[in-house]
Amino acid sequence: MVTELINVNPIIYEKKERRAPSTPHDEYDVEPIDQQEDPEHPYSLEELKVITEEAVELDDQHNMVTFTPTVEHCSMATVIGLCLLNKQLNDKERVAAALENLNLLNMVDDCLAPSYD
Amino acid sequence: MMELKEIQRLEGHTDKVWSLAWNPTTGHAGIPLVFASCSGDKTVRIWEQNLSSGLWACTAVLDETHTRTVRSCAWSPSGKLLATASFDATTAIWENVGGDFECVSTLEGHENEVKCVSWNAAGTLLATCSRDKSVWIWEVLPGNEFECVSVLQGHSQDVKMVKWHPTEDILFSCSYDNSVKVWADEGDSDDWQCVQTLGEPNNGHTSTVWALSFNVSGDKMVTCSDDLTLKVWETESVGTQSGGGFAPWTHLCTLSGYHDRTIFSVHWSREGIFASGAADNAIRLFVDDNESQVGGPLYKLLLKKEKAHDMDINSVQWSPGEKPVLASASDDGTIKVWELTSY
Repeated sequence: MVTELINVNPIIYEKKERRAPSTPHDEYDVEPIDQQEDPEHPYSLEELKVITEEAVELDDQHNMVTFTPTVEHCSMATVIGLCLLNKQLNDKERVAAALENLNLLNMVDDCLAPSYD
Repeated sequence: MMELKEIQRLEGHTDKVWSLAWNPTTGHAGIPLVFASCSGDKTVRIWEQNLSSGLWACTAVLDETHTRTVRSCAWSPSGKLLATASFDATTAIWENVGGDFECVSTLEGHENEVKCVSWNAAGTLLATCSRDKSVWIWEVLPGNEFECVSVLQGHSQDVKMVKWHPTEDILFSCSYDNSVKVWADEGDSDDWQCVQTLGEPNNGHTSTVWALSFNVSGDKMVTCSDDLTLKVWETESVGTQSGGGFAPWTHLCTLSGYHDRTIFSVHWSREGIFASGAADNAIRLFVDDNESQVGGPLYKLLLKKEKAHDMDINSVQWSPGEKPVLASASDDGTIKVWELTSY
């Protein structure tokens, strides 16, 4: 369990205005990654400038996502990365190795725990 | 018709079983078959077949050495040494002295999880690979000493498997970066270079390559991947690879539609049958298709074993013995021994 915040007072940036998608929203849609919340704060990754539109590069074969933690040497970087990188989550060997890290395991457990707020 | 008949289900590991390795000196001349298995429970188990009953039993548990998952194991060609690669970033060398196994050396250097270990045909070189994206080549010195002679940096992501060619000192590595790389010692001592990359541009895999295996003569290789395909590759002449220049590998055929989940393991038997094991819990066997159409697959499905295990199959390995015996290891914590029979 994380007892103290790594970045107590992060800088908050304005959200970029976007036009609504032309296709109707589906309950199975994946949440846009810039709308996902930071593990520590009730702000989106876009508001914290962890993810920006410019940091996502696409070509025919690869998707390159560059994300910037709010502080250097951020211990949450692994969790943010796992949230963003689907191929890693599909690699059971990498997942098995990651879950042998007790700090990460506890953090994932906290993320998955039901909220009673 | 052929059948893959389950001989025995072996229990003992308390976590997923990642890998298997048969002792190459067993299974003939009255020597009982022996194999090693390694697991997420941080242990290695040695299994031996009873010659009279034909049943298997665990004869040794190698523990209290690795502190994390043991991902891979490999016997030296002499059968006297067993190398084990672990997520604890080390490779342990175990010596078999009269059935008792002692850890005689620990190889350190990789930055994080070691994924695989492989001995060359002469037993003079050892290769290891890691999530740190590197492949290390170690020279085997007298007195169970090991010296790193080369660190190979070429893959852009973690390296899943290393495998020496069965007859030549040429090393193959496969990676999360979707490629297979071929490494050779180009003239100068210990000056190892990547001499070929088998990737997407030359009919390679489109996702993580998990494993590879060679046929007995070493002129063909099969690879398996996250992209749900098996690919067979060939080389013109094995003999030219040492001394007369490198003979490149070319894509021969792609086998798709046989597994619907990640294919984790593939192994070619001395009889020319290759087995695949996958996350769909199934085993498939393939053979040379002498009647294949021009341009079509050159290998055909011999048989399929659905629900071979209750969970993902991580390793399939043919035995070195006289009869075609296959062992499989699974996330369900068990190992199964199978015999290929005709009916």
